[in-house]
Amino acid sequence: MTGGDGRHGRRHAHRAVGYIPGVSFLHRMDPRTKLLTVLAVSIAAFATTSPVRTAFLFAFVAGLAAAAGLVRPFSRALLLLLPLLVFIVAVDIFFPEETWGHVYLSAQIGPLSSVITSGGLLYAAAKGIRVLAIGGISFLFVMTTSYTDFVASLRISRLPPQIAFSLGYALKSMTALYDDLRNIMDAQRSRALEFDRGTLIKNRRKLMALGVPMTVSVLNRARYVTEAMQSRGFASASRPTCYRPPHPGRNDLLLLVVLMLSLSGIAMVPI
Amino acid sequence: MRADPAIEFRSVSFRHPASRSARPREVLAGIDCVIREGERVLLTGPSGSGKTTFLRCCNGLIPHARPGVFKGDVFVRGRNTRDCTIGDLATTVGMVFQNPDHQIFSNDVVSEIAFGPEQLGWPPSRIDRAVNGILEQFRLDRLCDRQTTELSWGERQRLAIASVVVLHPAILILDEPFSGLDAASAAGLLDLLDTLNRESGMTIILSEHRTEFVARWASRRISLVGGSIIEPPAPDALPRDRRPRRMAGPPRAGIVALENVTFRHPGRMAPAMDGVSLTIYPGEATVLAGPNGSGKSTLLRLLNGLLRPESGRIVVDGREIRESTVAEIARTVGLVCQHADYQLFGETIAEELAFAPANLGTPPGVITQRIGRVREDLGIGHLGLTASPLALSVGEKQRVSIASVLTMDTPVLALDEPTLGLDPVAKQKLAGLIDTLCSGEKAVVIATHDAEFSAAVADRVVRLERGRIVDDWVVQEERT
Repeated sequence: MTGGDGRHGRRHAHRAVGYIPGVSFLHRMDPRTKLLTVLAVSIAAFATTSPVRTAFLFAFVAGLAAAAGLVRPFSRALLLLLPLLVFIVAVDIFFPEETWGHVYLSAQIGPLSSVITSGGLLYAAAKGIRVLAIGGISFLFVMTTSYTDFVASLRISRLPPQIAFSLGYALKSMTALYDDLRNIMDAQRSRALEFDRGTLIKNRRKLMALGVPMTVSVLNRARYVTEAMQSRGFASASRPTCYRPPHPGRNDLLLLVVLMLSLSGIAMVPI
Repeated sequence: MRADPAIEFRSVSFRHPASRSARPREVLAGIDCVIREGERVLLTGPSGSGKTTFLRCCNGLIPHARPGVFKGDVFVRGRNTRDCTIGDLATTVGMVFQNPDHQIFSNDVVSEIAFGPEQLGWPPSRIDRAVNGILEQFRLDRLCDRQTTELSWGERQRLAIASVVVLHPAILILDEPFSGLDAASAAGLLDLLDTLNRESGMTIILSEHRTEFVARWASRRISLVGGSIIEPPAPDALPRDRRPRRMAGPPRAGIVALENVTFRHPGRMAPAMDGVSLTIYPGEATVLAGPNGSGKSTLLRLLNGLLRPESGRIVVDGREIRESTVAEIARTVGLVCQHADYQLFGETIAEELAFAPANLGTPPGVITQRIGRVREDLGIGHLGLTASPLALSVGEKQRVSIASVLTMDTPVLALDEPTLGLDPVAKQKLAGLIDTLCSGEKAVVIATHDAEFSAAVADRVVRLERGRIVDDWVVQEERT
């Protein structure tokens, strides 16, 4: 298993989320294998409330990122989850679904009753790590799966072309959106707009200065791409060819074996 | 003997749905026209005259993909576009869109070219032959293992055309293919189109504002004004009668100075700006010239602090800008970025024009005065103040975008490819405005590939290549 961002990858590695071209074992894999891994990790994460098991699950995901040589972009992408992580953990600490063990605090705040217990803290930790595990494996999928390969894999799975290309376009848009956002922010900052200052009312206007051009850009791009595809005969043949379809190889088999062993091992970890 | 008709318009009219346009009107108004096989047609006309709509009628996008009221008939090699799908026409009419980024959707060059043949169900061996042939013909073979996002604008434009020509359409339609291309890339593209026309008899129809490249090559010109074809076709705009503004005088102080500036984009080895020293003077229009990727846009973004140098100093109005925010620098340097769509968001033109000076804390009365002046200078008064900027044509959006920075009234104005989508009349207005600004001792820096525009406005030309200044000359001194 070789890692490394590769010659092309370095140019894209500054993006928080998006496809990073490269030649790692994850890049070379059939997108369907990766999609299966994302599903398996997500189901496993939802199936347990043990912080130890979710921590092992996250370690498995982080191990994949390390083996693919994507530690830095992976870490940067996880930072994007920070606000969501803080929100989920805070809610689960103060208003836990599970309350057992030592009680640290019990209070009534208006109509809400808050109890902080050792069990609640462990549960909150498990939920937080779950977010990291599911978010992490999804980011890895986005970073290592090219739009073209993803669409080809969906097409050879007999998915209707409209659905295959729509799903693929959604994946591609993640990269395009980041680039658009950067260009829009540059254009507005050039007109003396400071994004990190001002009151809530003024910030609403700043959000509009980003949101409207983003929406226009997304809609325009989608419309033009659709027209360009139609102009080149999209789905005009009853059986379109799939040129250079992806084929599962030894790496795919190896990942599935490692995935199954890891999940089985994690399931056996005592709570 | 006259060649057979390739495309025939019979009393064609088109009107956008009322909700899509601030000023609902007929974009095409009763067009009758025959384009014959093998013709090289140059379609010209001011912004919003209906050129793009005309082209979209040729391959069935109108009436099949664009909402609106379509009247009349368009025949493509005898087939009525009403009776065919867009896919049916794909092998007969190839369409290249204005912005290659809106057309290219694959990650790699080969997949992009193979898309059309895949959709038509060609067997893989035939796709192999077609892809290899087109890679060679378009000199894209050295790029075949590259990601499409890593290609330069010129390379992406060539790929966009290659991925259409691979289907060997009898008619090729191109919407402003030369916009954003440097002179060498534009000449290469014209050679390619010429070869396709001569060797395979391909009918080529292209719309273009930068007519200096294609005017002599085209065998026929069609001019659209207000949705109608005018006869005889409108000639190119005459060069401006331009008097020298500045004579050699005592040395002056620069308003912006770059001192040995080096900058590298994240993750790239080669510097985008490599030890550049340059002083920008008040009262002077400085044009940054050079091929795609030479560092022109990077230099403009360094001027207003959007990018920060790795080494070296940038001094704006006597102050080093290392510690200044972009908003602070924007009081001195106003930058108009490429692509107006990234900037416009206001509900009305008035809101858009007031946005930047309001951010600088300019009093409302002064803003109103500036808006009035700028609208007049740029010729956008007819658009009104209450129309939505998002409903305007490409050229109109570009002018509103420029106007929205001009209202900041900064001592330095930086323009990144300001003529994209502008028709000759609008370009002349902009050139006149730059003259006026320079006469008022403002400094104007323009990054452009548009040689006609450059010749019309430049007091000084700075040529960049691979992030270095390779030439720097003052136009008027040379003339005298």
